Amino acid sequence: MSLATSDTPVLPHPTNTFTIKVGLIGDAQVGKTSLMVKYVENVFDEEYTQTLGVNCLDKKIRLGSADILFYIMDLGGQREFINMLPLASEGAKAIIFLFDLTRPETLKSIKEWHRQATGFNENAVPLLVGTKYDLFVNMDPEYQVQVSKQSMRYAQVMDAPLIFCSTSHSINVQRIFKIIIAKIYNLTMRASEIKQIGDPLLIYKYLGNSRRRSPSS
Amino acid sequence: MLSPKPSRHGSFKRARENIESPTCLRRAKKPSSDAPFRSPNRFGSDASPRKRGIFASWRQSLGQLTPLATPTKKRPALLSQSSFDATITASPGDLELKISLEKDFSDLSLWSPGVSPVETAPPDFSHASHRIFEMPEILDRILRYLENDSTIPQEKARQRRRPQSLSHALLMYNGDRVKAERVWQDTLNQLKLNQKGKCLKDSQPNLYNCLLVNKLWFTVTFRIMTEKLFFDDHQKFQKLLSSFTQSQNNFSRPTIFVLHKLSKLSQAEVDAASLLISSDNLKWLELYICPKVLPPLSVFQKSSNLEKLVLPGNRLVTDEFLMRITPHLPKLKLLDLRACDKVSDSGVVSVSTNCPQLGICNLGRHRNGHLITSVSLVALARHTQVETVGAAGCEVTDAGVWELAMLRGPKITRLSLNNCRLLTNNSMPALMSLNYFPNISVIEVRNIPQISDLRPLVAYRKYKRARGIPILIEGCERIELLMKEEEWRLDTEYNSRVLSDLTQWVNAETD
Repeated sequence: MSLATSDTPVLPHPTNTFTIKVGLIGDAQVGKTSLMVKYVENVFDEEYTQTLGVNCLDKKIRLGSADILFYIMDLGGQREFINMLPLASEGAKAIIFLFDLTRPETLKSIKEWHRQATGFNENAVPLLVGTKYDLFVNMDPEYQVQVSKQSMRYAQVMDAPLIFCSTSHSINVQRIFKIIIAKIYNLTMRASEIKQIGDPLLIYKYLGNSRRRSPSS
Repeated sequence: MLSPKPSRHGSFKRARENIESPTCLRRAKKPSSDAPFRSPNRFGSDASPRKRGIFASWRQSLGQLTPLATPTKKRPALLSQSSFDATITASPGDLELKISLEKDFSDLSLWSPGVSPVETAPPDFSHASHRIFEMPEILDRILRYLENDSTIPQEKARQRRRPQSLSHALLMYNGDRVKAERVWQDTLNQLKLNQKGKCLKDSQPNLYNCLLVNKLWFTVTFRIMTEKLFFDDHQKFQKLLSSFTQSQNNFSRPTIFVLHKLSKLSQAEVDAASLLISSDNLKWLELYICPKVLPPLSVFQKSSNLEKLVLPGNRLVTDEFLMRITPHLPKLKLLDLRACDKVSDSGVVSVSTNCPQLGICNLGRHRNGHLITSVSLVALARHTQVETVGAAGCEVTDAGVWELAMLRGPKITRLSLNNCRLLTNNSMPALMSLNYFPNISVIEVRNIPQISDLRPLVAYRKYKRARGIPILIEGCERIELLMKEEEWRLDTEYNSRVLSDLTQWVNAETD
């Protein structure tokens, strides 16, 4: 008979921190910085501030047994900052491609952003995020169908989960980062998908799984 | 210019630079041809330090061609001495004095052979040593820098204990095959070497040459050298004894006295040394594997400041001996009685009760393990400030280790329990899981057949390593293997816990 209870050592296992770098990429004024600030600080500012080069913020999530540190890099959308793309994409575990749901041309340029970013990093999980859903939902239904279908096709080709979000109304903001974790560590996520056009789309289950990533934990 | 522009640093460095320059070498080969250059007035009392610097460096380069070994007799230091005095008396302020001293010291040279006094113009100057080498106090300070503790014969400090087999080495070095094979090969070689009895560091150059410079140097150096006496050569020790009987006055009272593996040493010789070594200065007394002799009792009676007593491998050390000496050792901090297998519990109790400051105590042995039991551990724990305990091969029990943990737990830093065959999971594993030794950094648990629960030890090691605190657990092959398995199990459990936490977080409703 041993005095020591073999199952529970008194000293806890050291808490590891998993650092996850996330790059935010997309045209100017689609709301990359807003999304980042909203997620990290839960603040939304109507005023537009142009990002010069790269912004970054980090957010730590304490799980008890381990910590997740999101290290978020947001690249200015102007063409002149394209040479800083490696900063935001190299080493990133996930790259979020953002477009403005009210401006279809921003979705079109995703093609080029995606091509460039995967050139620097083909292992990152891609996500396709449409922003400003709160404005989009009030637009012409025909237009909504068109954009939704177009973005679904893009998501399919990129093999990227598709999320429509609204930073100002806090729709689907947290989910984006949960999907990132679920995809990186191959976790089962039970939140139901939203596929009805007109609703804030959330399609992730069969997208973004193809890459063979080695789980780091 | 004769040589490159001198810097403010010592001429010695400059001299070396000059050696490398070809012009200098050429000049050095035929010094007589240069003699006309060196008219005496160049070195008049108003000679600038720069000029003297040039001269000094030139002399040094010559010195490289003739051997430096012959010391020259001291001559009146005509020039440097007078200028030195002049600067001190003349300068009004401290600052000026400092500058002039600096100038003066920049030309330090011990002696300067090579230039024949007949042929060349300023022969006296070339023989002058700097004044500071004539002041006993300063000389004493300088020579103390040369003194080197590493000449004391000692066991090599070991990072890790030697592996017991190649597969054990593989376990110890995490499957690094190359390193494991190298270490195992070293171990085999070491075992062969040990039979010849040599595992010393290479001896460093010592102060010996300084004895030969002049009388003053001899006196000062001899005083320093006799402060720390250590011998790994029997003949040298005998020489010392004979010179001590001739002239006792020159000897200082040593702080360290070490005899290293003098197997032919006789008791009479050690007794003869007792007069020399016993004093309040003595801090460290070591007879490393000198099996046939005991340090004389009179030494302990007269040396009340002894802090370190090292007598490993001594067959003559008995309980009675310990009982006699320990009342005289109130300041003892370290006691090494490894392989003194005549010592039993009663000797250790006497040590414990008489040496309250004892911090390190090693009782490890391969024979007569039954003589040391938990009684010793408890006595040490109760009466001393013990931090490091070596009880390898002793018949200590779980109860003894528990008592040690209760009384000294947070203070214990190293604990060796190799081959303590009576210990079970109820001592170290249980105590570690309850965190009774929160500051321990070395745990040795080789060859303890009844220890099987390594989880608390592995968890402790992980905990410390994550904080960057060095921690070493030495196990035998069986225990290393168990620890590896346990570590893998802990990691797997941890990973699945993290994954389940992540899944929970991912599925928590927040938006």
